[in-house]
Amino acid sequence: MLSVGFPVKVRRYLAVHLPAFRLERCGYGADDVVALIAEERGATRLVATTPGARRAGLRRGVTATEARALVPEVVLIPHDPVDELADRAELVRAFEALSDRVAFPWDDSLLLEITHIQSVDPQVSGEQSLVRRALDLANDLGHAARAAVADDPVAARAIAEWHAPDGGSVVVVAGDGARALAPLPIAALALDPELAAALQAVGVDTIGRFAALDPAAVAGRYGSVAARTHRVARGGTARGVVVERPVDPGRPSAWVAMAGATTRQEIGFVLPGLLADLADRLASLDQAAVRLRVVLRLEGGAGGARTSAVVVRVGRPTRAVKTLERLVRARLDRLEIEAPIDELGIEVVESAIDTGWQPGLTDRTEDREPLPDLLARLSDQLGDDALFTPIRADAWRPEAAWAPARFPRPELAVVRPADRADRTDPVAIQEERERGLPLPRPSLVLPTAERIELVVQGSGPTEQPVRARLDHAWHPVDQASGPERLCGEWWLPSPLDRTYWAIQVQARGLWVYRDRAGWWLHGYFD
Amino acid sequence: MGAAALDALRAQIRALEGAPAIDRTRLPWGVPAVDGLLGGLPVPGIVELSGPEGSGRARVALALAARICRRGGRVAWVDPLRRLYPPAAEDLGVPLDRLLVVRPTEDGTAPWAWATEQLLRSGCFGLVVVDHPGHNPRERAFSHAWARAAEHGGAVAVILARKPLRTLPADVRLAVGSGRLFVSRDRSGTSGRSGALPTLDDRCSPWGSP
Repeated sequence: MLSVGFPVKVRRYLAVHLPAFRLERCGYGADDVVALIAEERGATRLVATTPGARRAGLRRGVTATEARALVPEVVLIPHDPVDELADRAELVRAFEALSDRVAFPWDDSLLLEITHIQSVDPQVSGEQSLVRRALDLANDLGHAARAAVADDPVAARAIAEWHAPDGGSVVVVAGDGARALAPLPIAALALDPELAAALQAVGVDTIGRFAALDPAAVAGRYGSVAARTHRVARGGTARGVVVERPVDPGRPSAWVAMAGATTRQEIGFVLPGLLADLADRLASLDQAAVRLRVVLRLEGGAGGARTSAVVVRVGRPTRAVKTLERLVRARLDRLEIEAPIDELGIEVVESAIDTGWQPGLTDRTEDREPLPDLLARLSDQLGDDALFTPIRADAWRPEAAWAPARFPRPELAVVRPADRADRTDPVAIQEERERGLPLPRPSLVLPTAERIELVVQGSGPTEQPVRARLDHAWHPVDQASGPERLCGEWWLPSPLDRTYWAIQVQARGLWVYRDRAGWWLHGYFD
Repeated sequence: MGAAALDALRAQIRALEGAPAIDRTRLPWGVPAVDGLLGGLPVPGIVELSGPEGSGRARVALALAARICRRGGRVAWVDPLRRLYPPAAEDLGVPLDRLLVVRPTEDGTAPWAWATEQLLRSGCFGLVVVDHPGHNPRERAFSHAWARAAEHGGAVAVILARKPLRTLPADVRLAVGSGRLFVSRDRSGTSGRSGALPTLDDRCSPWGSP
């Protein structure tokens, strides 16, 4: 239904419900049985599920242990609030192509105010067309979506989640909100769980029945929040305000005059107070620091004032002064002070919502550094790519048989059903058998193979190394295992074609191969 | 001065400094032939494994790493020479998700030596293995820092070196060569003993036991 000719004072809202956003952003689909977990109320609980997981019987709030007992094949992903926040911001930016007022006020639904769209943009012909564009955009970004348009944000979201078909939409005519909401269950209003339970206990299980209650009785018995929601159920609006963009916290910072200080001791003296100021500013924004920039404004020479700055990465978002002080001191210990310092400042380059942090069983007390802080410090000093955990990779070339991944990897990740070898599949059984056949691999593989001189006996298929030049002297090859031929990647200009031998020379194990260019030392059985 | 007397003296110094007592235990390597020679590794402590490449040092270190991981610990491998081959480590029983590999992107001694000290001091890793590139003029300074860091973090450091590092304050010095393992120094008194280098697993060497 198209909405036509409504009074200007009625605002219109488009809610785009993304039922699996929180898991789709992690690379899973709506039909996968996956859930997001986090620490809540003293246990590891599910905080989001895919529609596939909900069909399997999993619900938000269930503990991870219960979830695994109910559905053993469920994949559990630890929640990363910092990453999720960044993805939400990206999604909001993408939808700003449709409206200049976009917000992401719910876990799984976007809200756009579209009141003035028709009169401003001549290319958009009706709310239906805009809704179609929103659904297409969500699909292009890899998210399953449903949408609804209504006079109130809460109503639009409820209808999008509970009434709109998958991939489809509902446009509620202005003033018709009550009729559209009436058949939906009371849960669609996202009431406080205690309030919802109290209503259901007296037989109020649909929005229609809720709307039929006396407004004064609802306000008197259940409070103002319930009264506002009741107004929505009756077709009114709980919010008459424009959807606002999220407040940009900017870059909190704290500065202190140093009056020409030249030593680290002088910096150390003011650091606690400076960080305490910064922590107060973060607390007022309910934010925690992720990355800081420590700036030294130096007395200038002929060229004027200069600055020297270093970035400090915080392992886990925090505004604890003691933790920040330790990290900043460690960074400043390696900083050269080139001139007297006029001012010292610390800026928050990146921050996150302060979700708090509880030490886990394997985290040590403060006299032993928590792992995230250690990894952040090491990454700061050595580079982002310097720290990793290796994971196996399928590749023809042995040197490409692994790849770096972030450390530590989520400990609760369960192997996805598709990754498990099918024990009844003859191809899988044969592949597993063949994996045991090749020669063992050396513990040390050189980053670049080195030339080696070898004397071989025989030729062609019977060729075998018998003498090797090692440490500037020739030695007999005591044992040789091989040949193992590795070839592939025929589509590349330099395809792989190597014949490997594992040889023992002077009680040392070497891994050598021959290709078109000659013999190469590739690794050591060290 | 005997090893026991040295330990007692160190404990007295720590008590005078007000530092907490170090609980020195012996950690079994998990390989009977090695434990038969050493009676276990000192924890915390520094172990030097010297020998030419291909002599079997890394697989001895990886066996210990596998044992630490089976006990629930984490292992860090400082790899300035960029030659650790993770698939072989996994074949030797090291779960890769409990292994942190550190490969500084910057050249020079300072980055990897500093990283080793931080890893040992943190207490987050039960074992830190260093594939040492070779002798360096600042060896004495950073190797003593490693010893203090290992004590603070309660960790074991295993240093793989081509030749013995004279300035390394190692609690145990093992030399690998000619298919044998030599204990050239051990404060617990097993110095001078040697044994055949064990084949830990068929997959670690193509030739079986020597």
